[in-house]
Amino acid sequence: MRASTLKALMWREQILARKSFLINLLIFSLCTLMGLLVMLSFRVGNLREIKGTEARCLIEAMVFFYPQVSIFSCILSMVEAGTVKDELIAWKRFRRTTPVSPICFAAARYLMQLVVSVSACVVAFVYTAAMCLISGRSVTFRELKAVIVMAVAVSVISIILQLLVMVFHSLDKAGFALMVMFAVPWTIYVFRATPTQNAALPADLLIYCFDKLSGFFTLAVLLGIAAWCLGLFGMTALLKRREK
Amino acid sequence: MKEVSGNGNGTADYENAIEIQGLTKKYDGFTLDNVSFAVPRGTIMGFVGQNGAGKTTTIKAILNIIRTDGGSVRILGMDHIEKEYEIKEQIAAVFDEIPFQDCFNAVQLNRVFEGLYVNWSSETFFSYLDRFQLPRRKKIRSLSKGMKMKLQIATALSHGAKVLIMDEATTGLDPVVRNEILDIFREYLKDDTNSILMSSHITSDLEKIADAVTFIDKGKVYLTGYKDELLERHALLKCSRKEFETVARQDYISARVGEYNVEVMVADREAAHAKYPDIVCEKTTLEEIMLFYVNREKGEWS
Repeated sequence: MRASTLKALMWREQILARKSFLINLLIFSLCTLMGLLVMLSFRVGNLREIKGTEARCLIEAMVFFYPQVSIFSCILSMVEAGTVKDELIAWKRFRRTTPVSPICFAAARYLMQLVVSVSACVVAFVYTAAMCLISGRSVTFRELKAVIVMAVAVSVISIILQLLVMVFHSLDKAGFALMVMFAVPWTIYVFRATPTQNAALPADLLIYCFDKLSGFFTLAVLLGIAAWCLGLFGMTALLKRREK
Repeated sequence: MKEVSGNGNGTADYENAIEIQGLTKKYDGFTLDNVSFAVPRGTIMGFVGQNGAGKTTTIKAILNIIRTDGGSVRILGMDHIEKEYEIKEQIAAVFDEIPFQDCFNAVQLNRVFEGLYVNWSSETFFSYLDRFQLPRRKKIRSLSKGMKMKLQIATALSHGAKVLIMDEATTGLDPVVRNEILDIFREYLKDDTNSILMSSHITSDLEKIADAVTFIDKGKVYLTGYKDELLERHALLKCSRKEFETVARQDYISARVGEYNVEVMVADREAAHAKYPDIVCEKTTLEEIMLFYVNREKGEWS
């Protein structure tokens, strides 16, 4: 595997996802602006009138929620765009005529995703810090842990999405399968979690979920990395697969 | 066709750029049946057959895109599976549809291909772009079909490929663009170590450019050899219905029966002329040969 090949393929991934990435960046920027304005509003705007536990919960939930949006949109949009475009039958055929091994194509995508994930984490950290600064809270490891857990989780989800698209040859089917795989257990989890929380606000639930996740921080990160690595072999095997 | 003399270690002194032996692939309702032919080094081989004859399947098998059920393929003297990546460094494939995502432009493609091929030459690539008058920064999505094909050919010719494999690459292009592309191939073949396998059902293109021709129908190769020899050997007998009755079935491939006249394709001109001296014996074309072979099972057709 030549470094120049990897570099060229990573660059190719970037071009494939550029449009989708830029659109998501725009949405993310608007979200960021909105989040910061809401935070500001707690100090100088109308939301100032919300006091006590309720205000604390809302601020905390927003500090958790908004940076996660950035991670989610950055990683998933980029991967989704690249995967769908690579599903072109003609490209799949052509790829096999090049002297580049399937593992090189998979590795390029993985490395590109790593770059995006790390960048998304950095952006999310900065965003979290900015929100904390505006709301007068101090940045703790709790917020940072939430960002890392989310980044790992979204990376794993994106890898699974890519594998599903390669298996089903359709983003719709892959998306549906992903929903069944994640949304259903998540919904059951949320419904089961709610009564124990005595939650008056959705914000409570959000904080509860993140606290739960953070409780398994090390395990979650290790499992995520393991799943991510296994995905590389899965993708290589799928890329290796010849037409019938 | 010459015999292969390669040793399979990648440094072979090969005579045939591509050699296929007994290639078999079974699908539901279609079988690529024991396909064998060779593309001699330095030649352009036309791979002819009607739609669904098995041309694309054969090409996919050559490129190891599909799993085969039997047979062997040697490219540049090397086994196409054992030495897959060494071979793919030295070959180029051109398909009927552009395989690059439409969000790329030529400059971006150059950057990607620089990484894919060790011998990629940006200089050659850009010189082809200039020659084809292709815009460097225009997205693929806004190029015409002819421009897309030229772009694909420019990428195929910019890494010093020794073998060019083309699957219906000129189909759907207007005659001007097709001729331009054929000129490029002629130039490419000036280096006698370069070879082309060109599948097409536009026999007029192959008539102009091919050195050798392989005919395939229903998954079987029924004719392969040098074009001039094939054209020399085959002949079209033009006779009346009454004269046709004197022609033995084993002497002809098939016959097109008209209202008054019959055209009979024979595979041995000299023998036919000697045996039927009173029947007019005319030269034929690749298209007619293909047509008569495709209808060979019918014997007589109209």
